[in-house]
Amino acid sequence: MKKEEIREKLLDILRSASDDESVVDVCTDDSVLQTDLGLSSVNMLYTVIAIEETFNIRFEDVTVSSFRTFGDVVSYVEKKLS
Amino acid sequence: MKWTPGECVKGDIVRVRLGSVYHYGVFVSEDEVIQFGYPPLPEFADKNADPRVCAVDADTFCCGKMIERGIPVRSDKSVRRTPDEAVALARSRIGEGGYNVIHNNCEHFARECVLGAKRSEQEEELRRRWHRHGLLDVYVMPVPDGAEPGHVDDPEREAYIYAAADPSVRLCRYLVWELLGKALRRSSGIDISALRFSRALNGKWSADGAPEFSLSHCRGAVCVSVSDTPSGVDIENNDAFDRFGDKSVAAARMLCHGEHADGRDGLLAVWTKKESIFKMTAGTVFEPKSIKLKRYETSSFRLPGLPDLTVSVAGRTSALRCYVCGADGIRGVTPQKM
Repeated sequence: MKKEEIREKLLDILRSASDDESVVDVCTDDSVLQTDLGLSSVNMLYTVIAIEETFNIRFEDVTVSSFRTFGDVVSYVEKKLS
Repeated sequence: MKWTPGECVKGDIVRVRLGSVYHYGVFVSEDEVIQFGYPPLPEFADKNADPRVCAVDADTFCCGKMIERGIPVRSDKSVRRTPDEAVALARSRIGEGGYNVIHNNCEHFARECVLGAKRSEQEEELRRRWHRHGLLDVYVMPVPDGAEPGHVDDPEREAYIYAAADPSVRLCRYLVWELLGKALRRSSGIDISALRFSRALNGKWSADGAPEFSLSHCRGAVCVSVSDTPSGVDIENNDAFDRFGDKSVAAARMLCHGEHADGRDGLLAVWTKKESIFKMTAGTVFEPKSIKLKRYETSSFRLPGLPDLTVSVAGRTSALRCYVCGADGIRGVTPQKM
């Protein structure tokens, strides 16, 4: 799967996880998940689970602080799928 | 497991609510609660860089919040360890790592020690929430400048497209199927050329093996919905009523009688919602008066960069996601609800 496809699917997930969808429209790879996108702890968990279900992957060795930015998540998923 | 505030006793599974999540542990005494990782709070960020099973006092565990103790329900009672066994097991795991926020977290640990089964209700609930989320994707594509209808492999669809006398309608009919092809691939991973479509007498298209879908077009734009439960979509130009003068506005108002509609935007929203319901329910004759909005889930919205269009969709709107298709590909956008 191309990086751009991964990014689009992740943005879909963030839209469903975020309390304020409009912040996702200005999301970049440098956007910080908890501050820029306002993801609460439970929304972070939901995001991780949604990513597992969407991409059929299993997150290994992840803590709530494993992913700081949106770009970190894109890279992680890309690596798992490659 | 039921949860209640109260005096904890040795061997209890305990939890505290920290923001939107719970932190779990095994209660031994006021001086000893065994947990997997520290509470997920900024002040413990350093300790949680490499979370381990550890023992802390009850004050550290609860972070000033009320502790709840788990009361076993009938199904738990048969599998629950004795307090001594639960505490011995929890203590034996102090120092253990391998934390995983989804698959091996504080709740998995506490439940495994006390109830013998490694599971997390938080994880299960979030997974259920994701599966409940469902699919309702709406795609909109402005008609590109200079576009012309092309050849369609499916004779029935091609006949339908070229049956339109008005060239602009013919083009929209062609493009809406082009858009559906992109939408099916993106939302469901389905190749439209592998499907065989047929059109019912009421005009609704369907295909074996395809998800639910709905088609719509207006002057200068086409729109489709793809969903896992029945859906209907309708797109209109904002000046749809104006073009026909005040009489059409009055007629629309009369047909939408009984629905709250503020101004022409409100009227357009009501009208398109009724059209979308009509499509979802596969009606045969559109009778706006007989469609009661409150009986259905609907949403009306505009999309960034397309302020002259109003879109309404009926279906499981909690799952709504929107996309705009242009020369640079398909991008997800946030709908501006009306």
